[in-house]
Amino acid sequence: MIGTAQAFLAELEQEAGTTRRVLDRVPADKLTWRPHAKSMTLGQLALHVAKVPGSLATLSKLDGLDAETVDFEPAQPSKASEILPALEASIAEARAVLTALDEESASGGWRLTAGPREVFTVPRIAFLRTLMLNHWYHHRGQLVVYLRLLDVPVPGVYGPSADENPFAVGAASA
Amino acid sequence: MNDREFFQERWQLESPLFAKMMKALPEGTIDYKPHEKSRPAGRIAAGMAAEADGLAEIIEKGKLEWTSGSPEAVSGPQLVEAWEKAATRLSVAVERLDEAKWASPGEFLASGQLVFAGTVRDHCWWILFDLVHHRGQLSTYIRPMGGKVPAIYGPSGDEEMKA
Repeated sequence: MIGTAQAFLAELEQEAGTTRRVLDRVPADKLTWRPHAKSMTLGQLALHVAKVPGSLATLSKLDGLDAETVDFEPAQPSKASEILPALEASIAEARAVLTALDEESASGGWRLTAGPREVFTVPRIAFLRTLMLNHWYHHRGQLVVYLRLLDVPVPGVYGPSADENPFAVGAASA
Repeated sequence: MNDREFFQERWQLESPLFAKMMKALPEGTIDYKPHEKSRPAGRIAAGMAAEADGLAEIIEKGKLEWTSGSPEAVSGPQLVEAWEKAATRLSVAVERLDEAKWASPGEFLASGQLVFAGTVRDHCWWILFDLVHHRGQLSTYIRPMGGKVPAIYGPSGDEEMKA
């Protein structure tokens, strides 16, 4: 599983670059905008995307968590300039956790409970895969739709967007 | 557990969550798009099915010729059916992966041009991430379409997590 953790490190760096490009587009004057009354605001979602890797990496160092003791309401940034520094701190924390991960810790169990009820127990490496990384990509996917709705040009993530095609012939010199 | 076995396990766990999101798309709204430049919900979902099917193709044949654009879907049930057909094919291919196949080369071509060359392993992971990305996009479409967003990695505003 250590090989997997090392692969996560390379993935983290790659995805951090993509995430920077997306977060860099967040318009400073729309942080309280939301697409639906039950949805996160743009600011909440952007800050959540920034913080997911680090906060979940930090959580992974514990043996588990009781969800009833945590307030999951995403924080609302007061200004857009909080977002990219939060991402950099988050990536640094995630990098440190992955670098320090040893075999025993990677395969050790991580347990989520809701009061007395167990929600799941998974190996720590699976927790990192699913909740630190895949969960991050899920919310970034939401964020690009928010940007589109605000008429912000959307960067390509895993492929071209309607605004940008990094794979087009000649794109690198354009 | 090695990286290949880890992927096999992850695919088994992630696969039903894609179907769950597609089933949450309200009936009769596959043409919905939140913005004139957005892809309609049905095209995103159909593209995800085509992508899962394409990954099975890479695993089985080492090469995918991606046809331009996503297949047109006609109805919500057809989208779910297309997804489940592709996911079943992919699950079989993933289950049969051995170490030699996992490390073997794979090519992703679009309009005859090589887009990405790597190992089957590389394709498995990046296509999973891309599917997760598109599922996240769909989750943002659902509420304006009049539907309820399912819990995926944690509770949504519409659904609690179950043990």
